[in-house]
Amino acid sequence: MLDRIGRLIDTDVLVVGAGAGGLWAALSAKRHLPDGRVTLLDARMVGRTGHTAFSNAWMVVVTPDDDLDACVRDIVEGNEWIAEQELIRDVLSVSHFQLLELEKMGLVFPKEDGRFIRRPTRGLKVTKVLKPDGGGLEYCWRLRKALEAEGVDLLERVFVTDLARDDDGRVTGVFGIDGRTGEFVMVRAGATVLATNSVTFRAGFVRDITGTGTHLAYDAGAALTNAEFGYLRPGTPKFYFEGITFAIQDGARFINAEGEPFMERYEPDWSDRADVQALSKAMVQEKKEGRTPLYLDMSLIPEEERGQYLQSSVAWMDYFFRKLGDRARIDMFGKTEYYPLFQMTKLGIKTDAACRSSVPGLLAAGLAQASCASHFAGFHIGACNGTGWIAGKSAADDARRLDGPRVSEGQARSVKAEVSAGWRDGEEKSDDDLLRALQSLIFPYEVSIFKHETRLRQALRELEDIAERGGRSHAAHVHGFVRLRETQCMVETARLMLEASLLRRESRMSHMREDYPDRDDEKWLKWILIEKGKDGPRLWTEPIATPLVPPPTPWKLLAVP
Amino acid sequence: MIIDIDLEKCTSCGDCDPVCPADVIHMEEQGGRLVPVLKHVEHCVTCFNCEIFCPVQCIDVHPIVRRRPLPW
Repeated sequence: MLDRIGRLIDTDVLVVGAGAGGLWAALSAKRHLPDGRVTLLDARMVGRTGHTAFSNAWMVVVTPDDDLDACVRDIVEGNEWIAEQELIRDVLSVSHFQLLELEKMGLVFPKEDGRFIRRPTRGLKVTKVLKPDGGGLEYCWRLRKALEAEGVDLLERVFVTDLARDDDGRVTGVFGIDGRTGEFVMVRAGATVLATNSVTFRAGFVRDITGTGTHLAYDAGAALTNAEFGYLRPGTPKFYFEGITFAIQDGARFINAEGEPFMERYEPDWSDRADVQALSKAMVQEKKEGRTPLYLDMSLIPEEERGQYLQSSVAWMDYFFRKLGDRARIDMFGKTEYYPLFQMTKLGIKTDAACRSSVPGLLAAGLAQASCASHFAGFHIGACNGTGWIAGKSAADDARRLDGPRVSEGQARSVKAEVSAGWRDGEEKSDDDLLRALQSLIFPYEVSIFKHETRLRQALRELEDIAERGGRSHAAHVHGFVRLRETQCMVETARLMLEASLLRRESRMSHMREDYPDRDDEKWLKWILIEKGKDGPRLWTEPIATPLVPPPTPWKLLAVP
Repeated sequence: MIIDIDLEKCTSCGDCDPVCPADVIHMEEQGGRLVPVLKHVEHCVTCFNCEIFCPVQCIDVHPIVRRRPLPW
């Protein structure tokens, strides 16, 4: 009967989202369940359109010659202990195998004397990164071809609106719509992996691409975490430039309005090579002290090093750099204005070390999974690769172990009715006003970068109006409906971000409280967990397990008696 | 942002439609043939995908992004 309600697809493992996490989750599920059906669903085109596709695909890889324990310590310490230590270890442990698999798929990683060319990355002391020729587009395309060769089904241009659940609360698949026609789609699955990216507030360029999977999980009862942390980074007002990490390694420096290279004052050890959140914090301080605008001075990059920036092997960058000079008459090797940018939240689904969420049948991978609160420059893709592989294996095990999934006809009809009412052809409305209101509330640095209880509470009050407007909104077409659902997810994310930011009364990494400026390891080596309650989010804390890297020694114990 | 599609050069292959991550390009019938039509162009994310994958180079994307939300 379900097939009378809409298009019905049956699968053993369903993976939602085709970035690095989802691509690897689908491959892993198929390898671990070779006779089973594995389906990879994406809102757009697999291999061409996700956040990963537009990255350089720099990735952390730990080779057999590296000290794994030292790399785990590096990531955990770099995260100031907000990290799932065992999962980080398992992610790093599988990274070299994955690198060799990518090579087998035809992806080329540059070598010198037979060894991979690797570089250090900001904020990490010993862990190294490398990238493939062709960057994220080539990386995603090779993985797509591998999935097709191994028999994974691809389901494209489907936007997921809800998770299907049986009477016991187990997730048994998804409901969604065709992103162009609006046709209702149901996927019945033994296990479901959400790999749907972080939530952004559309900060521009590919940062406009956002994920809704964390809130699908939240609505289904899964616990989330890391809402108070964000990915802060220097950004440009007018265009996009991916690669400041290596521009800085080649000599570029941030300077203030007085021409002073200011980072040495804030980070004596790292200076401009500090992690992006330290750069962002320093930029805010410069603003508060009246020394803006701020610039990245690329003129310090030696002439002989500039070719790599002008002729990127990453297709979009090559087009972009060429046109920046030809069309916009911007000299990228001059002084370019920069500001601190809140790129995305680190809110993710809390899982165990096998990437299983607190809801049976539901797993998470990629940036939808909360393995840590800072991913540096190369651990975004690195963590996505590893959690994808781990989640795919667990999902294959669950699909084999659990009973056949049941999707209720009642839930399917109810979701279809709600979704169908979400847009009315010809109604001239757009989510953009709602989005602008949300951005105006969240992007100011006083709210999302440099926080204070008074301002957070004020923002929460103002958010209520935006949420109320969002709840009343309708779309004029399927495109608008998808955008509106994404914006409503951002509004809910903003609420979780503000609530969790109020609760964490200390400053740690990207979470900077003006009223609690110091890190407090005694009280705050904790996760802030969030579940959906009857009257709104329910927040609580749990200690962070430290089985591999012991917590930092409290200064009191080090003091001379 | 995508600013121009030269329909005289376009071969109606449709490659530009699915590679758009923002659902900005829709292949639609016009004058008896399928052509790429810009819809919701304000949602273009300036990723250059349409220009990169167009086999006859009939699409032009400008590198400057406008209406970027700022922190101050």
